[in-house]
Amino acid sequence: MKDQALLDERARRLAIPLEAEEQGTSIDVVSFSIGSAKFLIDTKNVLEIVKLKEYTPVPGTPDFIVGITNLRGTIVALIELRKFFALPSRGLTDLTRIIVVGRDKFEFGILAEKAEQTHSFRQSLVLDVPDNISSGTAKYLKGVTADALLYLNIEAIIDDERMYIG
Amino acid sequence: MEMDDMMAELLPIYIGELHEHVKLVTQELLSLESETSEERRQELLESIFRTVHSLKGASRSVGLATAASVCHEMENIFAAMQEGAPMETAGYQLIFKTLDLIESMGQLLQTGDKNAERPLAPVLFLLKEAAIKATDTNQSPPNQSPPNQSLPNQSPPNQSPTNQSPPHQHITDPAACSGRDLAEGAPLSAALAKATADTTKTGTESSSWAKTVENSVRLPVAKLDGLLAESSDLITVTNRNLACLASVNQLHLKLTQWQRMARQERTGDYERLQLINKDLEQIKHKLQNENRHLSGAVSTVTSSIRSLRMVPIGRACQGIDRMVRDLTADGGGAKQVQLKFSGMEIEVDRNVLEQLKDPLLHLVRNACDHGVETTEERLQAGKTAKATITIEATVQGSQAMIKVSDDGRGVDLAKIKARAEKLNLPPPENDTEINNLLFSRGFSTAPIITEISGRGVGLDVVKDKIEHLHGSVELESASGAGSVFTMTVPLTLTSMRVLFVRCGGQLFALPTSSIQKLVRFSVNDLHSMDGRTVISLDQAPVTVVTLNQILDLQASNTTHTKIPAVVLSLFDSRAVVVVDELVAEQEVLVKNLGDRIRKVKHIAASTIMPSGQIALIVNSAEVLRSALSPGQETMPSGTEQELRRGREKKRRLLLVDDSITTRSLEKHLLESAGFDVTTCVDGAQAWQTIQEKQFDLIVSDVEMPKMDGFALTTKIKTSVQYMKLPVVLVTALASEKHKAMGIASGADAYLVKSEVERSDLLEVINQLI
Repeated sequence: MKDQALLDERARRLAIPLEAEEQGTSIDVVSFSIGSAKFLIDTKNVLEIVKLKEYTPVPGTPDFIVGITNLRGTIVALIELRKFFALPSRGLTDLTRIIVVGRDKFEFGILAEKAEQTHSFRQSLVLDVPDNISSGTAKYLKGVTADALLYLNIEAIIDDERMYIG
Repeated sequence: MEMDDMMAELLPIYIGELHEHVKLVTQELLSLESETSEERRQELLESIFRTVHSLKGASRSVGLATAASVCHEMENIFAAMQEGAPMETAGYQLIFKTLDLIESMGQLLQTGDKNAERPLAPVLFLLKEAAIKATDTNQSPPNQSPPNQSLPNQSPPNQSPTNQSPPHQHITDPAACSGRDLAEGAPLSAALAKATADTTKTGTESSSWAKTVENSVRLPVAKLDGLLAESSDLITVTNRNLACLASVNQLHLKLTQWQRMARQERTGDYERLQLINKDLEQIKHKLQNENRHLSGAVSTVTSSIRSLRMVPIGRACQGIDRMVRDLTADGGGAKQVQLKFSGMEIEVDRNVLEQLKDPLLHLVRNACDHGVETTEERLQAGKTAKATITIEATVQGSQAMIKVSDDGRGVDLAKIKARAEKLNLPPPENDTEINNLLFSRGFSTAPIITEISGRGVGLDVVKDKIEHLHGSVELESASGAGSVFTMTVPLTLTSMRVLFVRCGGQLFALPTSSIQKLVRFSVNDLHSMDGRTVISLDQAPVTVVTLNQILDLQASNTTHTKIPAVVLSLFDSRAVVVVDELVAEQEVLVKNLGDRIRKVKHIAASTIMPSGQIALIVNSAEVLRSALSPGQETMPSGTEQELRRGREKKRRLLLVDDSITTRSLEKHLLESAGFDVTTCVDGAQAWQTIQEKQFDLIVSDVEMPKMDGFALTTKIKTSVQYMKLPVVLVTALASEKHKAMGIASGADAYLVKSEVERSDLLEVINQLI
């Protein structure tokens, strides 16, 4: 009897994480890279991924604003994420893609070297932001992965005051 | 559930209506208060009554019982007034207060507040009291009634309070009584439609500009803006089509040439060429036709969309009459003011209107607060007891001129001078200097100036807003006789005439309205005066600055012997602004800088070029201010040095890279190191450029379309003419194999992008030349 209870108890404990996983706690993300840094971003906030053709620098804006570009008649600001995070940017990178983010309308474009198609990602693979990442950067992250992908809290970046100039 | 959905749909309509009804009633009530003609008073009362009635019906149909009751009491009051009951100032005050509260309710509704009606509760009782009192007055001796009461036809049936049960009994159950509740029991949509229709009929000519209720479709501004954005994309498409047509034209020319050659040389290709050429010619004509149609249609569509954005300027004045009332005798103040409007029907773009609201309100408030004297002071000065503030709009070309004038005390020059002295500023000598002083930041916000001169609360804010509209503002004043503020703004901001200039490798647009003229001068025309660089224009020294300097761009690397420049001029200040190149003048569609960039110094807006590229539109007023600011003095003759340096011989580099970001980054890096940089997007273009211009060194990427970096290097190093030209390959290919290939091709240096630092690249380049 006692053994049975113990076994039941153990079975219940083991069952919980499984159930949670079956309930589909996977996330849809787009991954992209800038130099050696790799990022994940929620698919629902990626409105488009387009090739960067031309852009116009705007004097007097912060350094993370690369400039503005024309997306079918709408003017969109382009962001250099490494500069926004004040990450060291060694070397030269070919930023050739614009990841247009927003909710229901274009908010801004993130410049990236490579962007990959949407893929599902298991929520349980997202780890807490480690302590060695500064709090300034950590507040824009939902977490990291074991292979050092930074999972962006894009909503926080969209709503961030620094992202509004003037 | 269904009901909730329906409500969710109805509420926004209701809120919109509420807003307009309240505006209309406010407007007409203000007219009523000062109206003496009995006939006109009756008309106004009738109209107010109907509007309030509509609002009551609409309120009830969305289930706002308190709001409906409040409207009902107001109806009773107005009905009594139609019957001749007098209305005292306190009564007007109460109604105005009620209107404000209804407006607050609207705002609460907007936020989804479930208990939005709560602000109304306190006035309901007061209104009931007032209604009873008004009705009682009418029931006492008939000699108080106006003469027209004896004409029964003039009052609508069932409206005489005597025919009704006492109004305060209605309130407990407004739905059960009052024969005037036309919409009761009708379906919701019908009730709303009825409510709208009621108001539409009440239009009176004198204030038609103030009415937003029209036979019209209501649509969110965002949709209009979206349409405009898309239509500007259409223009880009049309332009691209034109470029295609130009290519076809060229092809046709070339083919005709070949055809001619083939005929002379009697080769067999002649017939075939002739056939193809004929086809091509047909395609060309077709394209030309289609293009003409397309351009025509596009320009019609875009201009109609633009005209949809035009609204009467009077809408920017809404609320002003109310504010004046609150600030003056009617609101309990010691001043009497009458407000006059003219030209309110002039149409301006919606954006311009929005930006005009605050400055207008500000100027009128200033005039009330400080410009206008108290009744007592006015009488002493021999003026009429009642002061007049006039808002007058006129059109001058593509600009609207709006004057806000008062017949108050004007600006006290002596006090301004005293204030200037206190701030260690030179005393103003003429009107321009007084203007500059009054509109400057530190000066106008100083509290003391408000007290002594009675002018200047935030005049700098007015100036900022107006300048942001590419407009200007000016004050004329005569001590004792009043002041006139003149604001000049463009009628529309969606299009503008600009001059394109090139500067620091970028294209910029300057509004032509701010350009006095274009000049070209040589370095020797420059003089130094009080630490500034000047040239003599029309016998007067004018400060010279470079646009590069002001916008903090790369130093120019042009080599014109005559320096091209634009003379910017706004009111009496002028400056010569040097650019790298004057390009062309054009009418452009104005766009913002995107949602994220709201305000940047020196830049006002942007425009999309036919190529789809964006050019920035410069804020001339700000550039002019920076050019003339004392801060600019700290670089004595800096302008001259810069201009001279720009004309010295620089080392010329050719930068080849297909990635625009890398290209700009490297270009920036190399230019700030003092090189003259030319860029190319691939090896083939680079090879052609090398043959056209002389270079001291080539910096090239490896992976590129058409001709890659290895092939380019090989080509250079195997040619007799260019074999000595140093080549630096900068590439993402880090493998030993690729390095070996680079060296084999003859490159002088091979740098890997992920490893290269700015200093490395410069060091390597300096070693090689």
